Order: sequence, then C-alpha cells, then structure tokens
Amino acid sequence: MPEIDIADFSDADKADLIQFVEAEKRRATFQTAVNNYTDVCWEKCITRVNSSLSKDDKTCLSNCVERFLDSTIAVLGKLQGTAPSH
Amino acid sequence: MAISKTEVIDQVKREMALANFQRINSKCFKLCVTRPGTTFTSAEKECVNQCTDRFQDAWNLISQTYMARLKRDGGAH
Repeated sequence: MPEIDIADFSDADKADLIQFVEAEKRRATFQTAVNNYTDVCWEKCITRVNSSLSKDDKTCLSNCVERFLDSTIAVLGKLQGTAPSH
Repeated sequence: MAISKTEVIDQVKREMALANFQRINSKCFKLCVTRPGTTFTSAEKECVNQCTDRFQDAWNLISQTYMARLKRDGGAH
C-alpha cells in the first residue's frame, strides 16, 4: 500500500475521510469491548458447536456479559476504594 | 501514484476483517481440534465450519446484550 498523504485529497474527499475515521473510532471502541466479552464468554459458555446456538448457550452468553460487567464495576469500585492517595 | 479515498477505506476494512478472522480461527481450533492427529478429519472440518458461524452468532448476541445494558445504565461504562 502506497504512503498516504492527506494533502493529495480534495477537500470533499478529506471531509469524507475524516467522517469515516471518526465513525470508525466510535465503532472500534464498541467492537473492542464486544470482542473482549465474546472471548471471555465463549470460553465460559461454549463447549461444543451445532447448527445453531442452543437456548442454554444464548442464556449463558447473555448472563455472562451482564455478570462480567457487574464484576468489572465491583473490581473497579474496590480498587478505587482502596487505592492509596498520592 | 496517489491512493484514492476508496482504497483507504477498503484497506481499513480489510485489516479489521483479518483481525476478526484470527480471533475466530484460534477459538475454533481450540474447540474443534482437541487432539491434533495426522490428518484434518471430516468431523474437525465440520466442527470448524459450524464454529465459525456460531462464533459470529455469539458476537451478535453479545453486542445486542451490551447495547441494551449501555442504554439501561445510561452509558455509564
């Protein structure tokens, strides 16, 4: 892939690219979180695969995200509560 | 020669697809090929095929669950 120089683009293309990058940044933040939860919860919930996710699989995956977030909040609260003040 | 806007956007999308592929590949290999043998068996291949689809189902389900939670908590995370 050749070097990208923003000066090579017209003003209209520049505006489009900036809009694309901003939208991608927002999407990437959300997707990184979902990727992380999927990695954690796939390991916990999925032991075999079939032609579709079973009802149990779906329940486990949904509960897993909810509980992971609860756990995240709890750990964060604990660390903030016990953090030494500098 | 200068690169076009479409090429920049396509390149970003290709890189994201590649990262996704690597995650699915390692999860499905771990789940389906529990004891690597001298051949890739048809059962392993079938498992990997289904696993690829199920991993994407799982991603979509988790995405929806997370989105609903963010709405419920007012974007507190």
